[in-house]
Amino acid sequence: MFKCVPCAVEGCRRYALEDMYTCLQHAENSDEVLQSLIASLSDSHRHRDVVMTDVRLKDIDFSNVHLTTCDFARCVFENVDFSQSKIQACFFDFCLFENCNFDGSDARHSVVAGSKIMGSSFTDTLLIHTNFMGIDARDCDFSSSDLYYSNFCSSHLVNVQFVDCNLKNADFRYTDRQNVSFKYSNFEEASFS
Amino acid sequence: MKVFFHFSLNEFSNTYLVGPEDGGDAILIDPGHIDLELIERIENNRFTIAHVLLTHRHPSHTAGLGTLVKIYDPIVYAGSPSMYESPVKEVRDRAILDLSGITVEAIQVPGHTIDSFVYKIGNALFTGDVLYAGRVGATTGVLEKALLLKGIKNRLLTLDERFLIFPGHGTISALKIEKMFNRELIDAMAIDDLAQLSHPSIMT
Repeated sequence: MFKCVPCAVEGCRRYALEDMYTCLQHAENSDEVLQSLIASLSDSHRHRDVVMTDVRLKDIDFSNVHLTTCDFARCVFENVDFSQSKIQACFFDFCLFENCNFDGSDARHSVVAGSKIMGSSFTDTLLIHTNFMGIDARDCDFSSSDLYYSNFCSSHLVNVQFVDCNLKNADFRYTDRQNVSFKYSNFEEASFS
Repeated sequence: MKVFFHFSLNEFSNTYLVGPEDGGDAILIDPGHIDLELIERIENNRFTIAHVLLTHRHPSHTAGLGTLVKIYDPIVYAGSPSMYESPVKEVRDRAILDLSGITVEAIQVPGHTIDSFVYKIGNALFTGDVLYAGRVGATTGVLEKALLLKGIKNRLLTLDERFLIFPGHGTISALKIEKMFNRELIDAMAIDDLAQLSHPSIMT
């Protein structure tokens, strides 16, 4: 699991980067550190316990990345490609995803709760045991995905497609849904109340 | 420290494997079911199960204990030792355990069962059936529910909201997420706040 070592700068509530004393924002040459982190994450190796919070990432290709137990809380992802990636037990809580692509990825046991997700695609994705509590999703497509035991409690969903999904034990209690389609999905096995 | 999540289809319960980075003595939390996948995970990470922590006595969290004891002979810790067939060391509220170099703090939160414990390891809370993502534990009556909610409020919600939550069932979460989006918890806390406001001793 990622280590939660507080940033050494007094008053900062963020966590320090791995093998560093400060968070990315307080690191010397933070731009260089960020570029080096992105380059290292983009390769095909397995990355574990990476802490990269409160960062803005735009037009990045993270397709085929392999991440385990990493912390990306409160990041902004704009036009980032996570397709065919393997993301296990990673935290993306309170993030902003805009025009991101998770198609064909395996993002099981992860946490996306509290995030705002716009115009993003999660088709043919393994999202079992994934926490989407309190998300605000617009114009998103989860079609053909396995959402077994996933949790969408208290979320706000507008123009979201769940066509031909596995929704067994998925939790949609307290959701606010507008133009949401569950066509060809086993929504009877999900929890709505 | 490595934390592995294992899902059992038998009772839809979660088992957690916690161990050092480079293998060695590890902790297994709530062995609801021991299967080949879990054994392979233990062995592939060069772990030996030296300690087992039980959050409470229900079979979905303890049924694999017999198999595990035969293979690894771990020391088992739980709240009510007399409830088990094999030897179990009693855990007490606020106990700090040093399990092969991993520090564990035991927090008793009764309500779901009287022996329900939450284990705090590093920045993680292993909540068993006390608190899940989007739900609080099931109870058998109104008093038990009140006891559970009081325990969650006083013992868990007072912790740093960045603590990660690893529940006995369902998805992983964080304390901040539960504070913001767990409707059962929000409703209960609102009712509790109203009760506090209307109490004469507060008003005077």
